[in-house]
Amino acid sequence: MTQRAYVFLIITALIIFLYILRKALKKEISEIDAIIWLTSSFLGLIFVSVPGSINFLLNLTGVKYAPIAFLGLIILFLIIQNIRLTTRLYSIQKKQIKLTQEIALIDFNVNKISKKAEDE
Amino acid sequence: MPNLLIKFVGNEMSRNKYSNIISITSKKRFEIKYDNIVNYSIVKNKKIIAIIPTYNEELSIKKTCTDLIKHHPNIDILVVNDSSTDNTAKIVESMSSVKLITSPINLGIGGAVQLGLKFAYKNNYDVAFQFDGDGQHRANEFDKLLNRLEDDASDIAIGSRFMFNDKTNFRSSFLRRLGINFFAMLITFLIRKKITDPTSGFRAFNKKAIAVFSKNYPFDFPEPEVIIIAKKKKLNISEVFVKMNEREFGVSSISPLKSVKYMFKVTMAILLAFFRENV
Repeated sequence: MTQRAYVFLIITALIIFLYILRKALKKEISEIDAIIWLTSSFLGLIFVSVPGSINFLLNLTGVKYAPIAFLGLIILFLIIQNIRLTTRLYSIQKKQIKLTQEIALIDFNVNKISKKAEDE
Repeated sequence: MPNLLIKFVGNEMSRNKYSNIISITSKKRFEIKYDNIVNYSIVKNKKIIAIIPTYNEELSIKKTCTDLIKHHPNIDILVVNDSSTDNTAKIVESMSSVKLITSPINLGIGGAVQLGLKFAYKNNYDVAFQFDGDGQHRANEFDKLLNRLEDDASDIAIGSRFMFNDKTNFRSSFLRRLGINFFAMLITFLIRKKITDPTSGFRAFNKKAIAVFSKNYPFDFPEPEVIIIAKKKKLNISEVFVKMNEREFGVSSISPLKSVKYMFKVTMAILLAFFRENV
């Protein structure tokens, strides 16, 4: 890897880490998401900035080419995150539908009472 | 007194409801065709509601409601306006005998039907009908479904277009029938009960079924999934032959081009519903 590419990777990883940290501090993402993203972006920063650390990845995955192992882990992480978010999205969708139905029923009752009051 | 005209009757049947009028036991095939039957809601003194989920049905909703009122003046009609962007709500509001619930956001067909069932559950209705607002379902077919709930101790009665090979009945396009037949075979295999029209939206739910489905109703492909869930919740399902009309206005939400995609999705949804632990 050239020195320029090395610097570029470190800066990118640092920007991602700081961006997520800022989001977490401003409470724009939940605690659990903040923990997951901060940990993973911090690990990413370590891997790109500490040259020997990538060997740990190679031993872990059995892949001989370091960038492939790194990319593979990132894809795996994103797939897991995607599944997690899909599950949460469905849960929120269910809650939203339930809430909307309750609002519609309350609205119906309010209209009924208003009409009754008007008639009286 | 109901005016009964006997045409042909099913095997070994004896209908308790008409026991004072007729009791039949035969190995031949029968069917009872009845005209001018006394309104069931009066006969049985049951609290009945027709739930009409609608989304932009301004062209047909008035006719649908008027037909229902004409045929069944004693049942309550609830239009669930699923956040329509046209004049559906205004038209329904102008009909004093029709109840209207408007959802603040679009829930989809499953959410809209469940909203109606929640209303039925909270207001202690004995029977809830699901009835399309596009004019496909016939108001004069209500009694068939009601009778089935009573006679066969069914919890859900489904109006089927395909129980008999009636060429005069509206049966949708060939491609659609092919798809419906496939779903019917799949569901029949899974629940071990003959189902001929799993996508029919003309259904009657008794109190037990209202309680179950007011709490848990599928959203994405509700009609076939409801049958699987009902079976898993140990509810009795039965079908009744009904005649349906071709929709007069608007287009179906499932275009022929999307049918293959739809087939795959519904098949997956049916299988998922069947294998799911918590339905």
